Amino acid sequence: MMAILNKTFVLVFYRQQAGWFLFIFLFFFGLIAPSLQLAYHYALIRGMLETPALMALVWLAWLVYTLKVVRFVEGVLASPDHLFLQKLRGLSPARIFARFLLVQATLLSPVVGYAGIVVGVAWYRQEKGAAVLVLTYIILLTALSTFRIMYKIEHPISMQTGGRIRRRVISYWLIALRFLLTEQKALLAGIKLFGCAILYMMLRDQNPSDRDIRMALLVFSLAIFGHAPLLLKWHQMDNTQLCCYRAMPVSLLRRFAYVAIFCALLLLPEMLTLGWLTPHPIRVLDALSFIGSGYSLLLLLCCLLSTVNISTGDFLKLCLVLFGILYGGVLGDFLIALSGFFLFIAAMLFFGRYWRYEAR
Amino acid sequence: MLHLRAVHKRYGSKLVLDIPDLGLETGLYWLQGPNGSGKTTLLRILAGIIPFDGGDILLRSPDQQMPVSLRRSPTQYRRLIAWADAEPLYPGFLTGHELLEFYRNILHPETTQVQRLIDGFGVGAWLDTRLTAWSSGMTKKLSLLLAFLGQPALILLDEPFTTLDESGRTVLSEFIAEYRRIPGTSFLLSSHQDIGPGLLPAARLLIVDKQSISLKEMAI
Repeated sequence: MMAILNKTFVLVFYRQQAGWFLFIFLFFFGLIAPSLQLAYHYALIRGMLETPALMALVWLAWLVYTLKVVRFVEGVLASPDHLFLQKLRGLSPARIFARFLLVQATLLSPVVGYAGIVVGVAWYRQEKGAAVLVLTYIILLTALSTFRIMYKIEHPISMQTGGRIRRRVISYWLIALRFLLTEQKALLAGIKLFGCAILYMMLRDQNPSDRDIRMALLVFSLAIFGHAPLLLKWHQMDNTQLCCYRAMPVSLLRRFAYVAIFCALLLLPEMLTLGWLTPHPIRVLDALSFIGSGYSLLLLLCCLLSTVNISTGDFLKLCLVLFGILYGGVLGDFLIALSGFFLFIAAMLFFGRYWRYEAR
Repeated sequence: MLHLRAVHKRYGSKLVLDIPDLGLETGLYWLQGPNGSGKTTLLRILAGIIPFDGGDILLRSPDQQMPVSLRRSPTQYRRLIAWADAEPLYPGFLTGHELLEFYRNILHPETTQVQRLIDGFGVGAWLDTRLTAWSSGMTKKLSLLLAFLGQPALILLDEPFTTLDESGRTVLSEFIAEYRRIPGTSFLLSSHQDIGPGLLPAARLLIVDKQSISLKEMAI
């Protein structure tokens, strides 16, 4: 039984999340020289134990990871390919709990392992209260998530509506955005974090008397081009899972408006960051330059993907060409005109080519 | 009802479809042809999902004097068309309800019609579940339900009977028969399965062969 559960949950989960774990590993261990690793991580854990806010942040991260694991297990349990798992209901609750506690502990092992080290360090530093707290928290996370899974095994599929219909507005832009938020959340979070961090770090020290935002604009453009992998994923979803949308009676103007709304929402974190930095240290006009150039570029990339048959490699090359044009625009101080031009090209492409496009 | 005028479609240098002139009156048509003959391509062109290289497609609904051109009035044309894919794929993160609402916000069907289709295809119990957990048979039923929404003049069904269970096949044929009684409603469907006269009475054969399409005046 445990072998089946391990194959069904543990192996599949770690295989699916391999990229994510590699990213986390590189983030925590790849940036520091090997000789400094031990001291760095010891300092990090000491910081956690001494700063409650930092510890709260770490606990939140552990909670998010646990929720991710629970959601994965629930997804497997609900999948038609795993209906055989419903046979688990024949076991006593204690046996189900024991088996899934093991599965959960294995799935949560990165968190449990790190928490174990934190507990060890706290104990070593004679901070026994903190050690007990961390230990209690991690035991609670594992046990409660196991109880949640047990509940899902005993109550397999929600059928509470009985097929009654309810009204709810679902638009194309909402589906596109939800796709990124649910299926590409790690990539989206990384890109947004990078874009907002770049803006904050490059603009926070701007001096109104000696202002030069050109370099910041260029680096921000790079962050916008960083959206390319995300847009390619959206485009792939659009062509496969939402190809029915092309057969629906939606006018070109509405379709274009939906893509425009999608782009605006995608750029919202950067817009908020810019709003936070306005009017000091940057002027409103500068903030508008950032938003205008970023938005026009994003919309152009979306419209290109929706209307021109282009391979991933060629799309990335085109991004490079556009970056070159943008570089010229920043140096030549005609960025506003260039943003207008990008918007114009985006609209021309969409209205002229949308119906003629076919995914190959 | 449907008129294909000099429609042709190429993939690179390969000519996939070349239909000089074809007119179809209101009715039920069964599209037949070997694998790779272009049945799905034709249905997707008619649905407005993929473009075609030359010619035009005209469709007339019973309440319109002038036919609607797919090239000149793409949105108006799509109002008259409904389509269900052979192997439907939908965003797995949506629930059945959410996908249904997406369609309802665009097609504005009567609530009673939606409820009848939900009950008929028996998908109600699953509507709150994310589509990723739906079996292929249930997803197929949902796609067929969506194709019957509103008042389309031409319903295009690509391999509608595959992956359906026995009761699903019966329900589908009952809905086809019911919609055919609505004046001006036509069906064009492809199937490799041997559809008996019980499931599709009075269907006429359309043969896709050598990139072209011809009507075989033989009721099955």
